[in-house]
Amino acid sequence: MTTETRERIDISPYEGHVKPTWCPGCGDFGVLNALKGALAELGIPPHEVLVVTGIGCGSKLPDYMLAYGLLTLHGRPLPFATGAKLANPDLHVIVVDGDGDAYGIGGNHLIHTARRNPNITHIVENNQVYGLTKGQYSPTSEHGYISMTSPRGSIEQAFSPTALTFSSGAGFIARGFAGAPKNLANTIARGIEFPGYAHIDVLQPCTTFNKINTYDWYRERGYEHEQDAGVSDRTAAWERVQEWGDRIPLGVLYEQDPPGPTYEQQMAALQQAEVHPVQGMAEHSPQDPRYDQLKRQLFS
Amino acid sequence: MGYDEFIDTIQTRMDLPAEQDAEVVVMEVVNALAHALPAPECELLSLVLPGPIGVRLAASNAIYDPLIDEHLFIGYLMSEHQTTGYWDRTSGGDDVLASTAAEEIERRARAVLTLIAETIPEDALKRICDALPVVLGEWFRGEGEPVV
Repeated sequence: MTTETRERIDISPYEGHVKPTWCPGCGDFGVLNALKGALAELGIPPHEVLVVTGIGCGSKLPDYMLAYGLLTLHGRPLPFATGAKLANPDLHVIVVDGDGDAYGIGGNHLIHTARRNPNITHIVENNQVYGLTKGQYSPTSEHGYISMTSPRGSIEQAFSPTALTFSSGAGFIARGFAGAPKNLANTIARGIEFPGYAHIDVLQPCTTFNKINTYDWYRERGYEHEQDAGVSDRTAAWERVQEWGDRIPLGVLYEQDPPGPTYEQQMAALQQAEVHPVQGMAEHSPQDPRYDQLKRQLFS
Repeated sequence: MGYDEFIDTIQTRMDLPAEQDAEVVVMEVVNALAHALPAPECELLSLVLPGPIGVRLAASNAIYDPLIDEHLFIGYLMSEHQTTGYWDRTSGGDDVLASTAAEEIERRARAVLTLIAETIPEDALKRICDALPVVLGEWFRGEGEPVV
């Protein structure tokens, strides 16, 4: 029995008017509650939030909460979100998509967004299967996973998304569990507060198509690691972001301290600088009047 | 109500083939309930439930989470139950029976919670319902539209 008593969090300011069409018991419900809980904890009003999604079960999330929402192309929410953040840096831009969208179709955007470092929060609902299209194996399905598209077992190795974003330069990497939405809300809140790209991989059961990675499967393996024990130490973090199997660390796995400059900050500096800050660029500029005209248009 | 009578009632109401099936249903619902019920109410309920059921609730290692709602409650139950048939753990979406599993889960959860409500004092029931997400409180009282 639990020994903790906590008041329920009022997430009603973010309640939408549309009833979710997710399968009963879907982990997406946990992510939705956690996101609302994080926003409530931080006291961010709905009109200051933009939720950007791709395609997939979880990408229907903006329909089910009160905030600005942008449903984009499959695998492309990160570039849309980066553009939105550049256009309005005051907006809290949150990307929510699944493992197929973020790690499969959008894998390239994941790498380059991590190294570009826009101040956006990226929540990936990782249920290790393509649920919306009826259960094909995904980039994070375990080796040997049997599905409609891998009837004799997946011959491909699952990759580690947290190790990928770590090696790509992400400043904030975390993992949560959809079945523990309060802890996930805390993790998301820290991700929103982090000034830069924050990648949050969420372990999420698909109750219809994944009968292996269930709530109990994740609950038995997930553990909250000591977050104060060198969360900004890159060597220790490299171990944590790769840990998977019988024990799966939850919480903030890596947080850069101090954080690096964001993409928006660098773009603003670029626009304001009298001398071009990128060394050598001037020398290599084409001697074409159209280039000067373009520079004036872009940076005036 | 004693333990045997409680299990027999569930078996009869749900038309389950064996007493053991009813025991599994009851224990798993109680286990899932521990995720959604704060500690004081969990303790209260464990004291008024028939012996082994109360002990199971008190011994649950579930961690209360204030953001768990009826959907996640169903999810926790689905991950344990074998409902409308044997879940083939290797064939993913090929298991057509899984599509109706959630309806069966809700039916079982409602049956157990309603019987609990019939067996515990009204003041305890009110405290427990007030501490739960609204929909789960309705299930205790046999009210509300089906979620699934």
